Amino acid sequence: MNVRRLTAPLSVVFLILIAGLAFAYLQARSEYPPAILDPQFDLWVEDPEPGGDKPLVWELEYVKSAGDQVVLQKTELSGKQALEIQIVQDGVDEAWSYVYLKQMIDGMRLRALFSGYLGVWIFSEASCECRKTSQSESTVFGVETNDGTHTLTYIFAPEVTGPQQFLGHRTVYLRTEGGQWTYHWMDMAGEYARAQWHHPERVTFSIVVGVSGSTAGSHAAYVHGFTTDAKATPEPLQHRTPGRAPYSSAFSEGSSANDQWAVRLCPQSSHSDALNVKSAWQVIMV
Amino acid sequence: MNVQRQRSDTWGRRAELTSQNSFLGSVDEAFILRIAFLFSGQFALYEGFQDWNRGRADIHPEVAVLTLTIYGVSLFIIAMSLMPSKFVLRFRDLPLLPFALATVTSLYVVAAIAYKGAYRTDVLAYSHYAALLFAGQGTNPYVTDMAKALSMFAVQPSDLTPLMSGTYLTTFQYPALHFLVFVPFVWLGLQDMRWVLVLFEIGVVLVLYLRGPRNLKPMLLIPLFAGSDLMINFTAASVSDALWVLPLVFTALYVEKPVHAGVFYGLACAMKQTPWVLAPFLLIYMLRTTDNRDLHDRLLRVVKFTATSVALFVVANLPFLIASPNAWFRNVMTPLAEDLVILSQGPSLLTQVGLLPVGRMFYTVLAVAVAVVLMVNYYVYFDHLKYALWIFPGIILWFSYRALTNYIIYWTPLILVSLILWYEAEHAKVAHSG
Repeated sequence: MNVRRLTAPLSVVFLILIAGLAFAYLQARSEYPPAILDPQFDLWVEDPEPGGDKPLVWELEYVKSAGDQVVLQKTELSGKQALEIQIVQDGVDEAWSYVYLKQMIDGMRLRALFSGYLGVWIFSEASCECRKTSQSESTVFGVETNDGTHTLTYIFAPEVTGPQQFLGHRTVYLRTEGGQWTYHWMDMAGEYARAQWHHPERVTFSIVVGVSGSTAGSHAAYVHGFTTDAKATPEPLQHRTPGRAPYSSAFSEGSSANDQWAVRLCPQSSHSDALNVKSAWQVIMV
Repeated sequence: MNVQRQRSDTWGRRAELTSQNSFLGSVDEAFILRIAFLFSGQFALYEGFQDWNRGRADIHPEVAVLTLTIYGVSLFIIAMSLMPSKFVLRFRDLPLLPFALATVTSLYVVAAIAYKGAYRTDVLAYSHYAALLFAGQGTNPYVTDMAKALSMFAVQPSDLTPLMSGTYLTTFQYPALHFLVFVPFVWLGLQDMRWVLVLFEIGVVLVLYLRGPRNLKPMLLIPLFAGSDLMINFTAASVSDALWVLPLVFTALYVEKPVHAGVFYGLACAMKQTPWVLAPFLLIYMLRTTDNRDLHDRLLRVVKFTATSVALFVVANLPFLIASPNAWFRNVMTPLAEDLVILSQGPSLLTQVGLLPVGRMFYTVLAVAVAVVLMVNYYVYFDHLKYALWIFPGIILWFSYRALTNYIIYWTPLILVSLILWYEAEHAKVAHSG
């Protein structure tokens, strides 16, 4: 009889206790969903338009002349699985060819993107001696976010300058040596703050590769994958460099931690090639 | 003489009362039928309008014919609700017509026109692909990457199951019957397995209708069609839960017969993991529903039920369990063990949108605590809660970190079976006491 009388109220007490204890012990930093979907480019589907395959989750867009070719494929390069974005430029006209791999980010995924650092492993073409002086003029490789009003662009380039901003477009250069894997961190929220832009409700996130019409031949850019793990952020360095805006940081495979700080602490001075890259990029945006 | 006259008066009054009751009964019955007529007509009108909107009748003329038929039938049924009682009573089964017509037409429009050749869940794409591989080469789907199914069945990125890492599930994650059930249809050349789900759905409706009390039949179906999701939208969107609902309906109908119930419950569990949550409650039911018998008999019922359930489940899965036990366990336990993102219409929605900063484990602990409380209370208050067991899995799953509507809504047919059994038990009790 007592059992029947006590079971219901004790159940309520039990549930409140468990919920309270669980809340006390299992509170966590918000578990954000992944900012970037399919960050390692695992899912591929057949793409009837250009022929071949394309990543399922990433939306593919390209601008090219009739004779140019765009090839996406999963490959292995220097020990890393990678997405290869290849543009075969026929060089018949001066028009640039571009490839965009895009996905829309909003809600909690956008919050995840803006509450941590976005990391990316990339591999860009090595400059060959014959076009050493103009490599950055002829190809563009980077990522960008576009919220409909503002465009934030990161350009992976061998020579860099400080961030540049014009109206609703901010460009950040990330020093990237060609011919080797390089890891970059990108601080989207920081750049938005420095640009004095409000956080957006949604952004289109894109990987962009472009090749000028004057550079005939095959050009490839590689992305191993994205990470949004805030723990990868070089936090101690930020404390050691007061007053310096952490535009980005990077290190190459085989470089030490000090090397990467050095890269970040020594942004390159303005360089004509880098500016050329920027102007080329603005063409893309238009 | 007086006694005889008194008896005669009493019988006369009884006959009069019975006649009055019978008359009132038929008045009530006719009224209930009118409501059912009106409801089914309105439901079909709604679906007809939806099909008119999404059916592209300009390039699919059959949609125009179907839409016109739905509107015509709907108007006729609605008009029937206003006819004299003798017509309403004579054509008591007519509400089935608009329900069936609207359901099949909407499923056709969504599956064969709006999303032709495209599944809207990875679940059905993987299951169909697994059936194709198994039927063709005898391939074990538990050790095969299913990603190819996504392009084969044009699954959109938004319909995939993402993990916390940003990657997606590309494994077959269900017990074996979930794809084996499609194998005969692959052999028959069926291209779209949503029609198999429709067959199971029709089975559920027919069983409920045939098994329901005659005077309440059309009314009985109304909860199934209270919205379009359960009978139309979810199946059209390739949600595969109808597969476990049908065997579980038979489990509920035969719940007093442990071996029969065990067979059907084993089949349901071999289809999908959702019915597993019901197991402790069914065991309590088996144990307590015959409290008047001795403990040995009651335990024997539990053993019979458990043995047949486990046997059926194992038989369906055995070849794959033997071939690759690790892969089978890892895949089938995916919903429990894998790092799925929070996606919920339950309390974990608060975490999903960033209002409550707790880990997924919080909701798992909460769901387990709720399950324990429900089990204890079901055992203790069995006399009051006997028929309530079919909603318990829905309540438990609502507290989990992936509380999706289909984890709740698909228990409705089971609740209806429970209501039928309860209704019959109450009638039997009244008849016995009378």
